[in-house]
Amino acid sequence: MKTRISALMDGELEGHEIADTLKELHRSEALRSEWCDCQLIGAALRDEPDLDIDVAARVMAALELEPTVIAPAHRRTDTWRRPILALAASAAGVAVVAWLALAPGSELAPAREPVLASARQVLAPVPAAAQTQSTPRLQEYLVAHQAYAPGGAMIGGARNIRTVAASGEGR
Amino acid sequence: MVVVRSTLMAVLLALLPAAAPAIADDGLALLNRIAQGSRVLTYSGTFVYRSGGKVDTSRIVRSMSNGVEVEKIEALDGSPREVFRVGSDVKCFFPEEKLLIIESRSKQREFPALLPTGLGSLPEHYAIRTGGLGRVAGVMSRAVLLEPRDELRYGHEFWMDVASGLLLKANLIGANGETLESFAFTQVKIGGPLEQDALKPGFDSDRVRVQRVRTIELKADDIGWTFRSLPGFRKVAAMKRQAAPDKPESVHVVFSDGLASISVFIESGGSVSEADTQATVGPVNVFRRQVGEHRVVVMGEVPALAVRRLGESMERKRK
Repeated sequence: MKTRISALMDGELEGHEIADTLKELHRSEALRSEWCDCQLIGAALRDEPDLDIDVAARVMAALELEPTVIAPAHRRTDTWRRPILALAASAAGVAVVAWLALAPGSELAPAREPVLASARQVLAPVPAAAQTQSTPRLQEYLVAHQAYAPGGAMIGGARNIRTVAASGEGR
Repeated sequence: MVVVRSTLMAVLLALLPAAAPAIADDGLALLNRIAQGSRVLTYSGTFVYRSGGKVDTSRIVRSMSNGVEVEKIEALDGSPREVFRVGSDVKCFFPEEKLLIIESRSKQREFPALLPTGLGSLPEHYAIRTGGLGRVAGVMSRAVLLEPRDELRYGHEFWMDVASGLLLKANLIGANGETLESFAFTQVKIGGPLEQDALKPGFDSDRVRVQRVRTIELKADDIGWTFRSLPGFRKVAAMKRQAAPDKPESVHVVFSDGLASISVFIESGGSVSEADTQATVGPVNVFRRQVGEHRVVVMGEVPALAVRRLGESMERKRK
């Protein structure tokens, strides 16, 4: 069973095997704690420091959809329901970044792309054709995209750094 | 494999007896604090942005007083570009061109309902873990790690000031564990007071050329295109945009899973014979496709697969 559990964790089981293993896990307290152990070992291998936390609880917490919020008392709850939204609006990179595109001389520096592509093994190098054909508005769109990317809002003002940085390109 | 494991965890969760009170420093709670911190804090500091071997240093001053945000960012490398913002008024200054670009948006226009679920849906798409403690810009920080549950998004590593919740460092992590992009404070002062004139713009609005960008919000029915949904990504904004009066309009639709986002731009033009292309700009993947008389450009800080899949799913709505 132990092997099954670690195979389960590594996502190596077929559908029916997963179901069976989970059933076993559900039945047995001992197996559940073993599952925790497996997770801990995994965490240790990944060199994570907080090994003392009950992993099952942690998984539950991570999967819990309602965020556990340590909110200052004066904050209104509706602000918490949409924190990213609030951020995105506040980051106003929204507007900001769009400017870069418009900045004279902010065309994409073609030399960057092949360098980047080769530095990143995941992606195949960008074919030269893709560069020459690339729409002249690509830079403008890049900037607009970054402006509206809510994820960037996590970064707050820092996202505008992207703006500033991008505007320096091609100079 | 990641997908299998997340499904598995969800099933397992359902099977485990309900128990386990939420942990105090749960990663999601920390993310909420970061989101909050970025919004309400006053701070000043120096920031480094790295992407694909490119490094840029900038200075940020940000204050929140009487409910109004004022922010100034100036580039420290190259010409002293500057972004200055008061509330929803944003000005970008390019000294070499003596150009000032302005966008003013009414309060009502600010993302009316972006991500109604907030951060709450993130765990569906990322395994969120709290990491160790470490110092960033001399401040004791806690790491929060987000590992994608499928191949449609990248991983994230956030370092936050434990005391204030200010995000001090953010890395975008690729499928092989490589850092695709990184923001990090090298020096930061959290809280006021700020130095006098720290928030004064470095340009004179009367002595520069001014240009305004226009965006008009689009209702779902007016977009004119259909998209097959990409798991976890929802439409969060749609607008018509025009960079300047003499430039063509385009439609801009934004999708997001709460962290990663994908923009779709639709413009008139292009020839039908053009083949689909895929390109990379820093951490951004770009997919271009010609659909009839329209050119479609899809981009985002997501794997190439994600932008391609969204782009290929697009169809012109029949009127």
